[in-house]
Amino acid sequence: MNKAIFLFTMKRYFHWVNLAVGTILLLFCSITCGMLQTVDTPLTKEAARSFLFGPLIPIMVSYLVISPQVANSQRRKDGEYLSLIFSRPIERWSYVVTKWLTGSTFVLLVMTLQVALSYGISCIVGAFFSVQPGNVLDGYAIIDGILNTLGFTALVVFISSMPQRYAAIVVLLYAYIIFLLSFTVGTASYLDSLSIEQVSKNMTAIAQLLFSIFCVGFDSYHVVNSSNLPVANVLIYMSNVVLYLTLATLVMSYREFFYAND
Amino acid sequence: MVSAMGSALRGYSVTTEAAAAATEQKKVPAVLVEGLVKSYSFGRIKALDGVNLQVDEGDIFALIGPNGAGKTTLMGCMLALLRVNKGRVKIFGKPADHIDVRRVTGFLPERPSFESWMNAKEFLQFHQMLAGRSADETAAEDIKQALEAVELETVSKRQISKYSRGMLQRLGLAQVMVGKPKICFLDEPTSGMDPPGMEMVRTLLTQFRKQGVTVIVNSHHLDEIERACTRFAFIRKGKIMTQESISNVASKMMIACWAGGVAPEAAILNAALNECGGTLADLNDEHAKIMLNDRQDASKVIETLVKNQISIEEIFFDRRGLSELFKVEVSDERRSDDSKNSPTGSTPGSTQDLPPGQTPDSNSGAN
Repeated sequence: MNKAIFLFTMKRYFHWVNLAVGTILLLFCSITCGMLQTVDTPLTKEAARSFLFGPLIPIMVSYLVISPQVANSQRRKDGEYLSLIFSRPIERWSYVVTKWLTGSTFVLLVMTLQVALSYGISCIVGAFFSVQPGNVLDGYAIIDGILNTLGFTALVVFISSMPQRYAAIVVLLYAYIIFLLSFTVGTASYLDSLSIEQVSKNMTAIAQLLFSIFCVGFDSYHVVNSSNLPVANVLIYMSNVVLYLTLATLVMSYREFFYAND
Repeated sequence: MVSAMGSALRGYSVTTEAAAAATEQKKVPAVLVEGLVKSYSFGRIKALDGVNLQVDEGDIFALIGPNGAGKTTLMGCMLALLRVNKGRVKIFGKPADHIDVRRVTGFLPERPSFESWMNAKEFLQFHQMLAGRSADETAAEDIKQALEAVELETVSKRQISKYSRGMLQRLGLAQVMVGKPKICFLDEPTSGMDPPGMEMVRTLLTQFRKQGVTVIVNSHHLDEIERACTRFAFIRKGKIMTQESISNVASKMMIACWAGGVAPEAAILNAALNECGGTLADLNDEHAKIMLNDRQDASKVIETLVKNQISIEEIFFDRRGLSELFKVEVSDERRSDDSKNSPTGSTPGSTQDLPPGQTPDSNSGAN
């Protein structure tokens, strides 16, 4: 890992504009989660659980991509600044891994803040309405939070390693796949409700396949409590993270950094 | 102001390691480019076409040529920022993308694009760390000296986004210095700079030269190049047309003044010069500028001109050799383009091919 890249990227993430946007997101998720924790029904507990990290991880990680542009007032040509960075003694893999770890560290720091804020808010609201705040943070949530952050950041590092025009295409493609995934799951549930079980099963299988290939999320509760030992889930998660980081390194290694005006 | 700058630069210690390494690797050229081919758009645009280049250690080497000649591409290949299609680039005997090469490389891009949210001091600290120099005992002092050398010490805590173009260029030069390079690639270092800034670049180049640091400069400021550089290469259409020492070129341009202000016809003069290996660079009612292949050809040229009954009042060597060479090379290019386009062709060597009032380099301005 490159110390200079880590320290200065982290410093850039803490630029006041980034902090302002991060704080708004953080407050939104923390207030929602904190309020939900004070309502003692299974449904709200589940909602609180999903609000603990659910929306924050993808939003924060995605934000890491645009944060350099937000922090920099000057518009930069693709690859212009990287040409200066790569004229220094930095291996491309080291750059990718450093960016991945820096992004993950930043998001995990924000998430830790969110947990503290959520509990603070739920305690205040609970005290006001004389309700005992529920505890939604368990071992599963912590593991999921860390692993999902590492996974999403790997994906984002891969996308941001590409030249901007290709990155835009990949993001669109990815969005389409996620849409397809949601559509398949939704249709499968509907068909299931109509008792068209075989089709529903097939669609669910397709959804699972898409999920395993393109998603970098992890559900530790499912993995631990599954009747079969879901080694495949763990392997798929790990291989996806490794795959995205490897692809990012390959893209960086084969990319050209032309910095001229004409 | 300039003397203060000079003393700051003298205080700056790029030297020790560079000088020590210089003695070690005396025989290995600093840069060796062999048969370099680089094309874009799947081979449709050939930016470099079989470039061969050698830069010795301690040289202040200039790359000159018209816009789109391939200078920046060549620099990009030497920095391993661009992948070559054919040929090889070696820096101090190692491949250009070797990590050891980058440890001793300094680079100033054509258009400085820095982290605008940082201030100058942070930016230099960042690059010092990237270059692996932050653990040096003199790290903090080096940053201070670099800022003094480029006269940014008073604005070192100002955010980079508030810097002017010239200030960014100065910061870029400071960034090169803090890495304590053995070889520097400076792409248009004087671009956007005021006259004191240009003077500063010249002082810096002289300082690098004294310290044995190899510098490759890409610039359109030919007068600056002539003053500060030791050797140069002229690139045209992706090929190296000329590669020699500045002093050699400066003494190869002759000016012949016509007796009685009567100029010979361009065709007659061209024919005479063809006999003795000279090239007509410019012709008017008062004089002609003649580029020699070799300084030794001067007597032959005079003899030929006299033999052809061309009356000369005075003949002398012009010191403004590089800009004249640039004119000749660019006008050659235009003539060859014209002759390809025109079915009748045109008179070689005649500047009268150009529209009235237009010099051969009028389209070859700086980027």
